[in-house]
Amino acid sequence: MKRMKSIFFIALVAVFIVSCSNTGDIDDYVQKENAPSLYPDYTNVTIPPNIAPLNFFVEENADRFTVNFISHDGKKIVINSTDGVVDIPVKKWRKLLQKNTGKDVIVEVFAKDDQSWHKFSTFTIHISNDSIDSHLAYRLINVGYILWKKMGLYMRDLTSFSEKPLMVNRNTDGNCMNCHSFCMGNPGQTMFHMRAKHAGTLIIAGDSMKKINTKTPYTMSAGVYPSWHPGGKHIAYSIDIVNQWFHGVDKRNEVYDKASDIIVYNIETNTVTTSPDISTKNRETLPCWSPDGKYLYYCSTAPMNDSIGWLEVRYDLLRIAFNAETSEWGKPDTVLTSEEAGGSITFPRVSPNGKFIAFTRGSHGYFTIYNKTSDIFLLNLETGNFEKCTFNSDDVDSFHSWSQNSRWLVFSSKRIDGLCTRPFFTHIDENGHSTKPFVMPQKDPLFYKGFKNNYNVPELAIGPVNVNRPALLQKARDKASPVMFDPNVDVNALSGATRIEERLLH
Amino acid sequence: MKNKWLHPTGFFLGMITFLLLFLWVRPELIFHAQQLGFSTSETFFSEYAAYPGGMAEYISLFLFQFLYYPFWGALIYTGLVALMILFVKNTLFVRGGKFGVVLQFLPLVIIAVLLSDYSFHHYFFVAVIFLFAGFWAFKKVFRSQLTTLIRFFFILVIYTIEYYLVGGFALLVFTVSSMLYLILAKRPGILLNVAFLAVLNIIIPIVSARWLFFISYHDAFFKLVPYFSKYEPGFMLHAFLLTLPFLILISKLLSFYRNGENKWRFLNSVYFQAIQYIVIVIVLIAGVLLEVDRDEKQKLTIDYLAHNRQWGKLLELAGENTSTDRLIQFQTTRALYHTGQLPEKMFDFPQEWGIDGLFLTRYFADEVLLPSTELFFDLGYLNEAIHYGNEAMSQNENSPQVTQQLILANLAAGNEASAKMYITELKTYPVFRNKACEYENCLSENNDECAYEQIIKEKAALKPYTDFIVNRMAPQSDLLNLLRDHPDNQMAYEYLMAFYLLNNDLASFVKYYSLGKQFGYPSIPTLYQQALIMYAYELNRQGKTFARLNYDEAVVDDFTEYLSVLKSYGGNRPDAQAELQKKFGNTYWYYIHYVSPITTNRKIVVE
Repeated sequence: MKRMKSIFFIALVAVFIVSCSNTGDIDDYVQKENAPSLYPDYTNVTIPPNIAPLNFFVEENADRFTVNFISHDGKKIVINSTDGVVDIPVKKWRKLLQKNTGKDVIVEVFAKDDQSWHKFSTFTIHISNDSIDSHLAYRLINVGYILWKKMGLYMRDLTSFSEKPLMVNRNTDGNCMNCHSFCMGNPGQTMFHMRAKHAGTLIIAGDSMKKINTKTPYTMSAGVYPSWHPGGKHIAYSIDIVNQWFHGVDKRNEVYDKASDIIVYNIETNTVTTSPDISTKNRETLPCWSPDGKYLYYCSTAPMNDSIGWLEVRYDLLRIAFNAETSEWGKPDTVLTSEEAGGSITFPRVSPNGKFIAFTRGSHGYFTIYNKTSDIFLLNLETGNFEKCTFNSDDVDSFHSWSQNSRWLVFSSKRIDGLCTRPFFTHIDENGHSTKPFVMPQKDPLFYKGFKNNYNVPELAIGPVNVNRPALLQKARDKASPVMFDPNVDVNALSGATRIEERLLH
Repeated sequence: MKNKWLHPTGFFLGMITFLLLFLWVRPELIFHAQQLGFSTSETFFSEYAAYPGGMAEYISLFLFQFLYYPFWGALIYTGLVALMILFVKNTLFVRGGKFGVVLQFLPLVIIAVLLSDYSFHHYFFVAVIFLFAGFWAFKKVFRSQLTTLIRFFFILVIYTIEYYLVGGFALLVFTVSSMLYLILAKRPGILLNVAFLAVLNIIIPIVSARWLFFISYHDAFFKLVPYFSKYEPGFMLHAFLLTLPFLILISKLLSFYRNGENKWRFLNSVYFQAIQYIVIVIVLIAGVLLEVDRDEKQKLTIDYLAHNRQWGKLLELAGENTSTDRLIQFQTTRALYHTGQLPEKMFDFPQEWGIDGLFLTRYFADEVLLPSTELFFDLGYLNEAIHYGNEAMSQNENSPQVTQQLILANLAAGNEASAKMYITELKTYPVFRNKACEYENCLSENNDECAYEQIIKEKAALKPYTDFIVNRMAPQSDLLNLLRDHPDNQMAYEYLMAFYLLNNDLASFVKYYSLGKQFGYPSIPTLYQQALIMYAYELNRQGKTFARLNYDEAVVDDFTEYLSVLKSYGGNRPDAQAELQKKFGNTYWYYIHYVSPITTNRKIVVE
């Protein structure tokens, strides 16, 4: 019996030694010329020092993987994986970012096949000195064009993987909700719209919450695209009659406005006002306040006309002065024409430092999220120069939002699968140079491969929206209170300048 | 006394339940009706973990997926029913002898009837099982010798778990049941115990709505139907949910009966027991047979067969039980095309809906989305196939059927990245994993044999290349656009002809019918001849002439007879209808005079 035990033990040791010898020594690796194929691609990106771990998947055929994240002082985080998933411990990651702020972290990827270890060429991750706003708000919605069912507004803590709902429509009888917006990234001043059932605009300002109906007898629709005035008292909205049609081949659809104008809602007086200059027969839309609150930027194009082909509809970028104290308007001023820009200018977003306007340029129209030609441009307000950002892809790159330090831009892109929008981040330096973008990290690096919801309207915020949730749900179900149309507005609006022509309604 | 009849009878009832489910209700139809997929992904789990009651839904979806396999689905559900019966047996805390045992089968009858409703959400089934399981644990704790404080602690744990599993309304039922049990058991300290349960039923939902979950107070206390479900609870469902308190009450009544056992000998006899079993069996069978809505079943079966492209069977069924349902008309027409009979036999089947039975997209409803994407795929109209696939997915985001259709359409359209995303998702559905692997073989990056290669190539070849604006309200213009790029698209051609015929538009029919010469019909199809001869006749009546065509003798004879019958009634169409229907009910002439919605002014009403 004793003899049998000895034989068994020797055999066990032998098996162990053989298996170890098969593993080979990682130091005896074979160097590969190419960088590893990663999903998502986080090679050579610049990231904020407060971002969640960039977990990734090594898309290489191998049995084992070892990934080293090497600090500037030579210290390492070593991750071993058998399935290619690199799941970085949060605490170690945070320490790594803290120690390497403003520096590069070198990443080594080793993969072992039957024979030996291979080392791919290293890549770096640059840790910027500039933090990003801690939260990102977005709407999650299925790909759909006419119908919808489940949707919700969510906030993701970018410093971790935590995602919490701001509002989900399972609580509001499956209605539609959209256009969440913050005042200068302040989660204490939040608004979003609800459509169909329980329709109205919910405004959360500090401890107060209200639900309003911005449609008045003098406006063609309720407010649509919002922009909070930095002073916090006003919100500019476009009012639009939106329509869509579908392509028979390749491209899916076109969303367009039959008519549109701009109004401004005063939270304190519960009134909407406008200027005859932003409620003209032209189609004015997509308002955006300058950070000093003195100007309202917006896009404008000619009225809808049967003689203008859909491909020829192009928006110019304009601005108009506004005095928030007196509600007085200046005269409109063209900032950049579509002709100069070489395409339709949409979604202007002024950086909080007032230096740049990021805008989307597409071949036509304003609903760029369905247009593959959509790219993001940066207009330098000091020099008047503009250029296409280097981070654009062949697919849709559209809706964007600035961080409060004007150093990070989040934008929607369909570059991964051509179908769903995902939030990407890029660093913008003081000269407007951008870095290679990276997709919002997820705990499961393969998450985006099978997640068929769109990340709609990504908006950065400096914290979570803290609100009494049952009270919010109750308010959401309450009837929206009406707003008054400013009786002091000059003739045009009261006489129906913002009303749509009958023929366009049908 | 142990009841010797229980096991064989239980087995017998189980067999009947299985057979009723398997052969009559048919699990695959339940699955097809609701198309609720179950995914093993974390995202899918998180969604249901986010609110009280979500876990019961999650488990119900796990079980629901097995209905895709008729045999295993029926077997698993029969097993669940058996599990519930075991819990019921445990609930009857005072056994009723031969009288009470049969009560155990009461929930079986109710659930079998509920399962016969194709829209029944299986969350309720799982929730009621959890109610019984929770009650079993509650009884154990309550009967234990623990101190009051520890007992209360365990009851708090049971309540918290129960609430998280089944949600607000079910917890209310659980509380009522527990209270009833405590009151009827007449144990000391009833008031304190009952008050404690009442407090729990108030505190737990408040805490969960205020701090734990994103739900309203109303939902925290009273949520009954799963979010986004269209199921409307009726009497049977409420009866099912109240089974637990009902049985607790009945148990008490039975205890009175036990006390007077000697007085009511018959109630304790084998004969009475046998009568009860017979009644249960009869009620079970009758309940299931009657509960199944035959029209709904017919529609579902036809839609199911169409989805699986079993055209021959579909036509056989549609021929056996004619129906004027719009979806049935739509799928029958598809089947006729795929079996090469559309230009010959379109009017052998009801066409009451005219063009709105040929295309469903002029009037939206949930049920038209998947069939529409399938039709557009058939036509090679891939942009619209993807469009409607996406609309369908927006309404039922975990439907494996829709996902598969989107995979095929995207593969044919050359959108591999999108197809890959849907394949990745389908792989997380255990029941559809193998299918997902089959689709994965069709990606160009893989060199494996693709089981769908032929159909993908066929549809890709029909894909139009000249852009146009989709005209949902006038589908004939889309068909003409498809034919402009691919005159060889036979389905587009036959659908275009069918459209004109159904729309009473003989002028357009005449204008375009000659496009079909290239398809090698042995002669002009019968229905086309009927339309042409009628057109020539009408022109002739207006003193105009029409090109001479070689009509089949039979067509000419039939038309002559049709006219003579009409004439024999003095041209009075209503009077002639019965006779004409008998002789010519399947002709175009009869359709245009009596069936066409343009003639009858039939209106579409959709939700």
